[in-house]
Amino acid sequence: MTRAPGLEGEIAAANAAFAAAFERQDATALAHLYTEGGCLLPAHRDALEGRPAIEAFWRELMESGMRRLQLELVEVDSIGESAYEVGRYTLEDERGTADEGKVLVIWKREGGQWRLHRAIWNTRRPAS
Amino acid sequence: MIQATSVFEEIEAAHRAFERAFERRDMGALADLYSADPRAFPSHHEVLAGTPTITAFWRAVTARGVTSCSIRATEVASSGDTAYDVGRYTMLCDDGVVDRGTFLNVWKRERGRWKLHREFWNSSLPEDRADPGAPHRSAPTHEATGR
Repeated sequence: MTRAPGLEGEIAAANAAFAAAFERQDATALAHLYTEGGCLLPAHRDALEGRPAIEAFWRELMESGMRRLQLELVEVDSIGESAYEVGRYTLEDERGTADEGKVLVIWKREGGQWRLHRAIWNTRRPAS
Repeated sequence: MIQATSVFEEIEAAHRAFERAFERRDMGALADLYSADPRAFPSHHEVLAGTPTITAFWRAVTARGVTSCSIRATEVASSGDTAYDVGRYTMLCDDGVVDRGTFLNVWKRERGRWKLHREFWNSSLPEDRADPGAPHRSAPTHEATGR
C-alpha cells in the first residue's frame, strides 16, 4: 500500500470542486477539471475523449434539466502518481433525485492539481 | 506513470483467460482471475462485492444465453502492484453480438499475477437494446441484431 498522506482528502476536495462547478452549471469549468487527454466512458454511447467533447457532454446533461450532482467518495488508492477512486453519485433535477449510482475514476496530477483522467459510472437503479 | 509493454501483455493474457473461462462456463477458472477483495459494477445493479457474488453474476449471464465474450485492452498503465486498463468488450450469443461496450478495470498483482480488483463496464448500445446484466431480461437471442 503506497497511499499518499492526505490523498483521500485531496480527492474529496476535487470532487467538491466538481460538484460546485456542476451546481453553477458551468460545463467549461467542469471540462477543465479533466486532464488534457481526459476520457469518459458513459453508458449507452461511445467513449468521449478530450475537453471539448467532455464539455459538450456535461452541457447537454445540464440542459436536460439536471441541477446538482452529489459525489460521495467510497474508496481511494494510489497508482504511483495517479490514483483510483470508487464513489457514489446522486444526480438531481428540480424535482429531486433523478438518478443514482456508482463511479470509478482514474485521477492524475496535471498542472499541479488532481484531474479526472478516466471516468466511468452507471446507475444502480433496476432497468425500467 | 510507466506504460510497461509487459504489463499490457500480462493483462491481455488475463483477458484471454477470462474469455476462455467464460466460454467454458468454468466459474472456478473465472474466480481465479479476481483479487482477494474484488468489486464489480454492472449497470442497473448494486455493487457486487466478493468473488462468489461476481461469479454468480457471470453464471446468470451465461444462463441467459450469452455464450462468449471478447475483451480487448486499448490502454494499460501501472505502478508497482496496481494497474488500470481501458478497453472494449463484445458479448455474443449463438445469433451474434448481444452487447458491446467499454470498460475500465483496476488490477492488483497478487502472488505474481494480475487480478481483477475493480471491474466496471458500460454498454455502448442504446438503453432499450441488449443489456445482459439486467436481471429481468429473458434470453437475449431476440435482441441480437447488433449487426
